[in-house]
Amino acid sequence: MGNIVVSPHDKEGQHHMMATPTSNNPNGGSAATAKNKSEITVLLLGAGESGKSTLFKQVQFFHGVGITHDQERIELIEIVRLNVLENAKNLVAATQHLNIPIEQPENRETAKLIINSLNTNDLEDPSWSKRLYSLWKDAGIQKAYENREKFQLYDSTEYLFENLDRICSDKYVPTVVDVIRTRTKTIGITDMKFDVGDGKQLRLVDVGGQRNERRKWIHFFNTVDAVVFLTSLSEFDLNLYEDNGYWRVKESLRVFNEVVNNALFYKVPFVLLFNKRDLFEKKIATKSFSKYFSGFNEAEEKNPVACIEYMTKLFLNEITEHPLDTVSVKTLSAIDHDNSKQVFEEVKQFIMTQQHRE
Amino acid sequence: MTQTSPKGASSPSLLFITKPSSPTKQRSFDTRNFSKPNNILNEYKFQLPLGELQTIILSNFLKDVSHSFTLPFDDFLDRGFQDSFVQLFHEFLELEQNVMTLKFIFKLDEFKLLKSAKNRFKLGHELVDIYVKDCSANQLNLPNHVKENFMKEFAKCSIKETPVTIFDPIFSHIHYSLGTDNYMRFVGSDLYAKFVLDQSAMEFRKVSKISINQVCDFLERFYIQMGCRKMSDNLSLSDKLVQAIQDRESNQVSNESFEIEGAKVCSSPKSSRAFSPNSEDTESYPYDGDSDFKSSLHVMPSSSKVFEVLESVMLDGSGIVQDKHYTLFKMLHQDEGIWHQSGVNGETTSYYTELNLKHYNSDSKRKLKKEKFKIFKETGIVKASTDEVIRIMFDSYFSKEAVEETSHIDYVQGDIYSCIISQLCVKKNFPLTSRYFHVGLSARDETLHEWHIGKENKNQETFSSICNSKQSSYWIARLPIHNSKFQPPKGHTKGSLFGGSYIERISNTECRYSMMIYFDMNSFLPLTMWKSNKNSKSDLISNFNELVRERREQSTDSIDSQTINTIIDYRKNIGNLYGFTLN
Repeated sequence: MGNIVVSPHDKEGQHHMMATPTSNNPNGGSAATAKNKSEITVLLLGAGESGKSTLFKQVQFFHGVGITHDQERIELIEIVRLNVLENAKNLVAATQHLNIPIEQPENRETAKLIINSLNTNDLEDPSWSKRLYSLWKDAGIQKAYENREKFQLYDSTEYLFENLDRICSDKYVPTVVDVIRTRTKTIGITDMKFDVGDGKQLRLVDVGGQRNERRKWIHFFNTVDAVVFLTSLSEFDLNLYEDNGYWRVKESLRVFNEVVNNALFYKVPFVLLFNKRDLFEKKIATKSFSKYFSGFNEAEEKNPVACIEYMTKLFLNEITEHPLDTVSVKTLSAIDHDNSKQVFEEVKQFIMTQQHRE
Repeated sequence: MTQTSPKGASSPSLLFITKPSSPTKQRSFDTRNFSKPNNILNEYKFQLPLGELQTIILSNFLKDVSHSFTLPFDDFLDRGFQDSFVQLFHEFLELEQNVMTLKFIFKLDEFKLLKSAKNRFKLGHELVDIYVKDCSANQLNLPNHVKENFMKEFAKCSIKETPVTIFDPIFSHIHYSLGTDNYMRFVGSDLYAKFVLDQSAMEFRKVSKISINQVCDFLERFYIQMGCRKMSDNLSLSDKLVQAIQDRESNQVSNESFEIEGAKVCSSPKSSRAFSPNSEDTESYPYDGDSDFKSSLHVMPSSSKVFEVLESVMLDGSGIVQDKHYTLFKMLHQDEGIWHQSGVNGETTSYYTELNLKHYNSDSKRKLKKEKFKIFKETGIVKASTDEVIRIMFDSYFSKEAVEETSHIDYVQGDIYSCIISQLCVKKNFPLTSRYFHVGLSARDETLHEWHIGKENKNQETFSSICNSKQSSYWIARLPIHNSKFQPPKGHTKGSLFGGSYIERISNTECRYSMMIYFDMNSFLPLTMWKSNKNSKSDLISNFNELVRERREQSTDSIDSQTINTIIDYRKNIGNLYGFTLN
């Protein structure tokens, strides 16, 4: 994936550099002292469902932690199946909400059972694979799925329904990809540590992204050595999980503004990751991007590079306090193992280089 | 004994004696860390006598082992807020900044217990202010639709009417989030591993020599006692520990070494007490396969709970079955580690256990008193559906021809469980010539119970389908009655009986029947009798299978619904809770 380098001579950047405060930074020494620290704390921040935990899981996986062993993934069977049920319930509820009938009578029966009594244990029975897949392929459900911006649905819905034959089996053991693609809302704050050479450890902190979760972020602000801020490219047509009337992009920009301009992060290396590039490219092929951004040239709306450049400018415009030469912008598809590995390596190098510069 | 067994399926081996607990004494329970809800973290900072190496080995090993055992989140929460294990999760959530979710769950229990709508309304408002409103620092992470729908419903509440179930949608959501996110991390965390390590440190604190098998034995018991289910795993615990030690060896830089049952391990000087070298002048771990010692190992977190339930049974004596009794039987039944096999006879396997439950003596709070509770268990496969087995049991129970010692004397309706009260007579040789028991018996439909406590939407259709299903599993509980209304015939002695049976569905045509029973004969049992009972053979399961054959030959239509009143009442009562009717 292409990286966008923000140089201090960038037009947008110059404006912001002029506005950089120098005297009233209460904790400006944070990054300077980090050079000598044996532990580098990196915060993964961003609004809800921006992909922080997916990247976190990928990093765990690179380092042989957590989901590498079958035994550990077996514990996640229930969560994968709960994801399937949750998606199925949301889709069925959406057909009612959007007034789209489920066409086939047998699928209507299945929908009734899903809402009323189906549980994860039932999914051990392979017959549910066929029933759920038939429901998924029902024209009514597909129509609701096409309108998924109107309700809350996990990104992994299609993936899970396409893998029902594996998931609905008593011998099912989740694969690494299943686990990566399973949505679990992070609540609170969690972290992991791994060696990065030179006797140093990198402590990666993952957080919940919803509004109430952000109140908890402050607990780590004093000790942070770098921030990786994630935002989802594919959320341009979606509203918030915790506030249905609020546009996700607006929320992401607001959170980004608050974080990047926070005085505590003044000298802290800052990485902006535009995540879900894969989903975004699929989405703009069928949906209008310019409909949501009045300043964007409609003729370019099927061009992902142009769209991402536009989004980049939107976000960089929010930077009023932070020096731009300590900001890096990259795109990411966190569900892609190789891409995550490559991007995270670059992020790590950027952070280490910034620290050496200090 | 015959009160719950089918015709002829008596269990002559199920006799033993222990001194009856004094119902007048107040007791506090297990003194180990498990029973102390607070300062757990501080305790294991200062009480770990194991050396650095052992800590490292066990920590890594434990993290691996913890994946072999799973403790369902619901079962975990059932331990209650004061449980030390739940308190440890509380500490963990403080680190993860999500303690409010756990607090809310237990606050909600308080809310549900309130009987007056006025009090619920008041507490409900407090809960909303603290956990739901946007401005609160302790706001729960809820999706918009859950929060909005709840607030709409809550606005309709008043002092006169505040439903007990008003917070249920919020509970369902946060229960799911907590169980799938923080809890999953907790059981794989350092904190959890250290907690387990601390328990082993406590266990082995006075010794320097221990074997891999001893450590594994302890750990397996520990996890099972915690209520964990063992998951299938190719490697045994001891294999894993050897592997962990060998991994450690390959990374070890120190030159000092010692051996653990053939596995050579390097050690730092500080670790001399841990998995120690074959030093002759240090105290050895006293484990030698002796059953007493095995059961003393079993003083686990739940031992206080076991004792608590047993004591309440003795103190209460009303014979009214409650959920805690079923929970205890379930716990004992699942805990394979406590049972010692005493023999196999045909299709019946017999076990016994002596639970060494420690508690404070009320006269001196510092002095530990040990009580032995001897429990028998018999189990095997019956070639019949669970429904057939439970009907056979009740038929036998009421059949005077079949079971002469049993007489049905009363019927009592509790809140949820109704009880059949019976008098049983056991005749043994001197000195236990005639012992009379008054027992309350109740049965529970496990599928319905799971549905009742589960998260699923409750509806009449599902309720009816469960009640009409012939594929449920059943628990049957028997409790002693000490009511003066029920007295043995003059000149005879009254004993206490406490037991549980599980009819576990395997398939439509097969089930596993397991019966556990505890007797207090109100007298000392001669050692010779204890030994002979321990070793005697039971025909329980073969008799069951014979009865199934006989019953099928005679008639399949003559099922007297009166004989399964306790299950019908149980179903009715659950139905009443949700406004459903039993067809």
